[in-house]
Amino acid sequence: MLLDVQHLTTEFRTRHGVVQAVRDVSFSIEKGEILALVGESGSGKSVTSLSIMGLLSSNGRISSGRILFNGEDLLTKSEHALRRIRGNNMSMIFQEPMTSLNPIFTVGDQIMESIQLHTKLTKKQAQEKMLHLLDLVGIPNPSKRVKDYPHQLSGGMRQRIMIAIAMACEPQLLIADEPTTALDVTIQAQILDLIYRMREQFNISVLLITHDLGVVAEAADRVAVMYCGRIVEDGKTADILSSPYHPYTLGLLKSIPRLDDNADRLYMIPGMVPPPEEVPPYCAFADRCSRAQDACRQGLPPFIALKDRNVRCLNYITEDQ
Amino acid sequence: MLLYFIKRLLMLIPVLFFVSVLVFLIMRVFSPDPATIVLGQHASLEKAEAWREQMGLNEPIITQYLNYMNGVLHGDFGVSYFTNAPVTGELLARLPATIELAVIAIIIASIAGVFFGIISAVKKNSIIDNFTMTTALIGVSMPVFWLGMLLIICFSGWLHWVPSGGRIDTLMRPMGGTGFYFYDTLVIGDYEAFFNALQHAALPAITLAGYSMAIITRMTRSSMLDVLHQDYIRTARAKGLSSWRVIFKHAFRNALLPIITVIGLQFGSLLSGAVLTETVFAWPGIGAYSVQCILRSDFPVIQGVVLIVAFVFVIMNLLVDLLYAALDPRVKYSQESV
Repeated sequence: MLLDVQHLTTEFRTRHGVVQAVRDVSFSIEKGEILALVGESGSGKSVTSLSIMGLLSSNGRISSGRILFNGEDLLTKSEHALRRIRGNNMSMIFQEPMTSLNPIFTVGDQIMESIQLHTKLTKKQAQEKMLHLLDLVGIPNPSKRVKDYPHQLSGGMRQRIMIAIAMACEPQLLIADEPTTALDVTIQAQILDLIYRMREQFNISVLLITHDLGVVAEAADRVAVMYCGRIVEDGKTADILSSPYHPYTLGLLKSIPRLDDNADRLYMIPGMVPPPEEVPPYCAFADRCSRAQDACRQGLPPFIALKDRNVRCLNYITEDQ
Repeated sequence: MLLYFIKRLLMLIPVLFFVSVLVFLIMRVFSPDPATIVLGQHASLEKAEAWREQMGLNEPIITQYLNYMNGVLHGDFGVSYFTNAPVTGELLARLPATIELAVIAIIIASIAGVFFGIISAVKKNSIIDNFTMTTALIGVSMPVFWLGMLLIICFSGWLHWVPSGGRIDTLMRPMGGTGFYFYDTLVIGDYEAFFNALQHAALPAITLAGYSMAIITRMTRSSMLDVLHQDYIRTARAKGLSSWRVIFKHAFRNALLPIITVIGLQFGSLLSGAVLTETVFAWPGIGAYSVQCILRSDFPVIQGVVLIVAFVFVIMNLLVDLLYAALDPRVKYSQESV
């Protein structure tokens, strides 16, 4: 097991007091596996990934839990030790390729920086490695492109550059936070395909954060669905997408518009996601859920381990329903 | 790049033209008759008329302007009404003092301002930040002459560390040379005089730097705060870079553009003569001189000063714009495509 997150809770100091963005989240990723973390905006997916990277903003902190990476707890490591893991064993790409690269350095400089920080390669070797990386991520004419500044490249190209930076030191874990959200549909497919190829080629594990179930279906081996800072269902992608057990997962799946659907209106889950400071002490989805019973509002439902998945629901949907 | 530079230089011509017309008109149309000021209220009408005739003030205003500009283009700003000395010489004699003071002040203000601004931004809402921002607020609000007098009382009156006024002790004044005492004393190897000039410059420079430093600190802080929230800073941290390198290499260089602008403008205003500071410290620069000339309606001198100040400002703006292009690749390319 490469990454094992146990009972992670992350909180932020805000004007409304201390607010928990991630609540008691546990999941693990095997070597070479792609795990998708799915949920709406504000469900805590990005905070989970930033917690793992140790890149929370200054008002955020991990209040409990363990993050085991190769069996070692990252939360007990010094900042110095974490820096040697970051960008080296574990790297990250972000949602906004347009703004994630530094505008005043050439893309070549930005890739070289990563290589030279974590490896002992000579400048010439590092340059060769950089050109190889750019070739790998599908940048045409790499030796010319390295002299370009980010603003001279398209969004898709910039995301490829970000992937090249992330892959610079051949990490074991790649965290991809909504890597395709800001891109055109055709480019989305190319970037997903690229991440998939990186996994095949380097046997890296990927934590793929997305709100797009289409992306999940295409790329992930396993999926964990998050709602209001908690994982409500996790299991193999095929199982969960074909027969969701949690009413929230079902709602997400039904919300995808379909071409062959003749309904006048698109489906939407009734109600709104409660803001983090107003999440109830019982099942956070109960107030929007058509299957909710009195028991759902009595206390937090346990994470029920079933044959092929875990689900946090007292009245989950069974296959025959 | 060169094309852009030439284009910008050519654009200076209309700006300076309008400034010259404006100053000329304001002086001629709205100011009182200089003859009564120069010759006294009780001078006879004939005498005043003769003086106006001699000074060319009876010519049509367009002719006066053309005559004046013809002189300016040949480096002749006319003659002072009071001393009859050529304005060009008067200004050249005082410019080195002003430039020397401005350069020292802007160096102090930039280094300290940028340093405190970065610390404030990185340690946002900490005690250091609150202290720095309060000090900067005081710095912006405190009248310059008052700060100057406080410094004189403290460091000159009580502690006797530095003299309270002037540029250098009369006996040590370097003869000839460029008029830049720091340069002149170093060239002839007179370190004692150099040190003496430095002592004289300390208080006025600090006084002058105070306001600029406060402005630069605030701009550095807000610009750094803005940049530190950018996505590419998160990328840099995700690479595993130390916070030191993230701040200086990735954040500060991006935050520089607005800081450079402020420094450029501050330097421009310091160069155009710090009227109050020069007066408080009896510093023989163009600031104090131009006030005297305004009070006695010495048109030719005022015109000369305003033209030079305008020139300094447009040049500073040009330099700042060129620095932009050097610092930010996006600026360079978008301008080349124009």
